[in-house]
Formats: sequence, structure tokens, C-alpha cells
Amino acid sequence: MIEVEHLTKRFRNTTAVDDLSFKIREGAISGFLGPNGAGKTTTLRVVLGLVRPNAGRATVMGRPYRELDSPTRQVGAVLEAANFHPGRSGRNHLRVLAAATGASTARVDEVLALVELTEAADRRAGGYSLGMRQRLSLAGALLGDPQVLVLDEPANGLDPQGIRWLRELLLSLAAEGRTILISSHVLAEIEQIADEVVIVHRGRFVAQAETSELAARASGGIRVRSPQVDRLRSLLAEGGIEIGSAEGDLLVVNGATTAQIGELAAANQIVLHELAAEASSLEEAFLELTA
Amino acid sequence: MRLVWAELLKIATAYRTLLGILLAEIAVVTLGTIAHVHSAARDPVLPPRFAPDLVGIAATSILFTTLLGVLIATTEYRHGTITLTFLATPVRERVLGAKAVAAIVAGELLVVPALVIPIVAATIWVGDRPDYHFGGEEWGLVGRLFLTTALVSMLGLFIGAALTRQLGAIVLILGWLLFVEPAISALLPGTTDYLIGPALGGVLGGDTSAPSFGRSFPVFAAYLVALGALAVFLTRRRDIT
Repeated sequence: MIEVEHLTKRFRNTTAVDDLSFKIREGAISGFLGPNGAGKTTTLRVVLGLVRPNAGRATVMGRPYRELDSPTRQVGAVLEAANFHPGRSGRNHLRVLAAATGASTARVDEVLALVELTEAADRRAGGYSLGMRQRLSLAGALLGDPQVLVLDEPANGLDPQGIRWLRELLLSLAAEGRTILISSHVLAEIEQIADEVVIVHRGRFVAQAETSELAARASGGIRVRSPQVDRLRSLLAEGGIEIGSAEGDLLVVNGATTAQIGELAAANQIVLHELAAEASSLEEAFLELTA
Repeated sequence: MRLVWAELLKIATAYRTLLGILLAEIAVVTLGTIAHVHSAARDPVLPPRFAPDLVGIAATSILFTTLLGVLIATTEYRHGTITLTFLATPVRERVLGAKAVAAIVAGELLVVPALVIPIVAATIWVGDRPDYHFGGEEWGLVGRLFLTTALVSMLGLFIGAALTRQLGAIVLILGWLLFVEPAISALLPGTTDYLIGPALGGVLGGDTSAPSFGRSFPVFAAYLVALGALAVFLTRRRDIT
């Protein structure tokens, strides 16, 4: 759905993105993580055709953004909360976007209602709080009812209620089958909504994995409890999978996924009482991988 | 057409800029009109170029039209809305084309009050005098003013799109026309007909010292084509960060 291939972008002597490649799968919420200056925003802007790469390419639905037939009906984007003319009302801001994209006035009202901004719609955007601006940005992104959403730090400026609202909105949009790529430094938020994460550091690819797996990888373990623990242990060892620790009928396994262990147990008719990634935060994984 | 409508909507929904330019234009034209018509009305015979000079007063509007063209291009960069514009229309030269049409439409609208004020004032003050005649020559100048307005709207837009900074674009235009070109003209007199200012005067007409329309129009058009090509080139290559 979104594919970045060997992307490199330099600004004078600074390499913002360095031979970066990853692929975002269709219908999933993917987190795009990295410390400040990791190249996340630059990458997203290349994906959206706003920045020209020095090498490599980025495609959405198999084509560069500039070549999409109706870009805003296919891809919605939130990049900054300050992309407004301060003297233009929220409604007029959306009317201008709607005119450029061919969306109807009725759709303007729909998205205003969706982001709960109807009451403030006729006020000047210059007087909006940061949270209201984020909502307006999101309304603009949703104007074309796109299949793909690219969101750069959409929770910026939102209060806890706003963050919860955003989480629920994104989950409902994903439930409709949309593909969402979301960059954020609020790792706890990403952990709650993202199916997978891509981590970049200093412009380079670091890791891509399902969120739970990545967190488990950082903590070093998948918890496996079985009444046939000895047999399972020897099967894992035969498969070259490292056992982190063992206590009674509990094993903590490193370097494997829950899927691998589950399939191994099933293939050998081993009963499992527990199979779970050890509870740990994405933050730990993130800090470990970007240290 | 959709993009042109979007650009016109941008101007209309952030109307304070347009309103400010319009009020400044009205003030300048009104002052010019009072000075011109009032002093002429006291004389028993109107000056020979009285009626054409009414159009000349209206022609001060091209300063404001140029400024409007600059602002139509640069305001989007100033407020960051260019990001959304290019997301909606990633083929950037189409945006420039739509902005050019919108700038021409808005510029032509700006000319109307600049023309109405001196013509109505003259009609009220001296309209019943036998030596007052607003006829073929004057209407020809009005037509050329509308043409010049279209050209300078694009000139301002292209310079604004190339530079993206409001102040920089305005300083460049004023500095070029007020200081650089007069200096070039003084040092190399043979080049005068090929400079923007004299070419503008030639297209506008009404000034007997300006080059002819036939000579000025191609020169001004060549400048526009060159600046338009530069604006497209830079706009296409520019990173929106």
C-alpha cells in the first residue's frame, strides 16, 4: 500500500534519510517511530510528493503520489497543525480544500461534525487552540474520504480527552479497512492502536515488526506455560531457539514469536496453558533499538 | 476551472488582504483625482491631455495589482497552506496556472474602482464643459489598462512564486523598477526600450515618451514568459518542508 525503497534525502550537508526501505501493509495501522531528527517527517513528505528524494522512491498504491489520479481522494494527510490562513474560518479553510479536490459542501459539514468542530467552524482558525487545529487538519485529511491516511504527530496539542477521541477515531477508521501510517513520539499511544511499527534512527531503518512482538523482543521473552515443558524445551533447543529462563512449567523464550512457538507446539501435540509476549512497553523496545 | 475557483475562494475568504489593497488604491486614486480634476476645473480651459490623464490616474492601480499578484503567490508560503495546496494538486504547474487566472480576475476587479473614481469625478466637476471629451482615445487607453493589469498580475505572481517571500518579492520589484532600471538606462541608453519599466509604459500608453505598443508588448511578453518559466521550474523543484 505504501512502499519506500532505498530512499535517501540530503539537505545540503545533512542526510535526513539514508537508504531507507519499508513497506506498510494494507488495512493496518502502522506506527512510524524514531527520535527527533530521525527523518520521519522528511520520509512522510517524500511519500506525499512534497519533498524530492536524492535517491530511491516512495509509492502509494503502487504509484508515486504525484501520479495518483485523485490524490486527496486516495490519501489524506495531516502534517502540521499550523497550515492555516489565520484570517480564514475553519469552515472556509475546508471549503477551499473541497473546491480544489471536488468534494461537496455537504462533505465539509460531515467532516466538521466528525471531528466535533461544527460549533467553532465559523470562527477564524487563527484563534483556534492547538487541539482544535489538529482536529481541523484531520477534517481536511478526511475530506476526500481516502483509503490511506498519513498522519504526522496527530496527537500534538491534544489534551487527554482529545487523545482518547483521536484513538477511537483512528480505530474506527481502521475498522473500515483504511490503511493508516502514523508517526508519533507518544509511544504509549502508538502501542495502543498500531498493529505494527517501523522504527527509524538517524535516517536509517532499524526495525519493523508487529507492535506486540517488538515489545516482547525488547523484554527478551515470550511466556510459555505447558504441562509438557521438558519436551517443549528440547524441541525449542533443536530449533535453535534460546530459552531465557525456566521455572516449573514456565519458560521464557527469546528470539521467537508467539506464532512460531504456537505452531511448533501444535505440530508436536504439546498442550499449552499460556502463550504470550511478556508484558513490556514499546518504549523499552524503542529505547533499546535506538540507543 | 475547479482549481481557479479554489484560488478565487482563497482570495475571497481571506478578504482582509484584498480589502487593504483596495482601500490603499482608492485612497491614492482619490487623492490623484482631486489634485488633477480640482486644479483643472479652476482653469477656463482644460489642459489638452486632461481626459487621457484621468486614465493615467487610474493606472496607478497597476502598483496594487502587482502587489496583489505577489501576495497571491507568497501568502500560501507564509502561512504554510502551500503544503495542502500541493497535496490536493501535486502537479504544481497546474496550481501556478490557476493562481495566474485568479490573479488576473482579482486584478481586473481592482481596476474598476480606480477607473470609476476619476471618470465619475470628472463627469461631475467638468462634464458639462464643452472642452471635456472622454472618447475613443481614452477608451482605447482603458482597454490597454485592462491588458496591462492582466500582465502585471502575472508578473507579480511569477516573481512571488519564484521567491516565495513577500517582502523579498516586493523589495525586488520596487528596487528593480525604481533604482536598477534607471541606472541601466542611464549607463546604457540603447537598452531602455528593452527594460520592464519602459515596456510597461509602452503597453499602458498615454505617455508620449514611452516606446510604442508594438515594440513594448513583445518585450513585456518575453519577460513574462521568462519569469513564468523560472517560477514553474523553481516551484516544481522546491521541497515543501
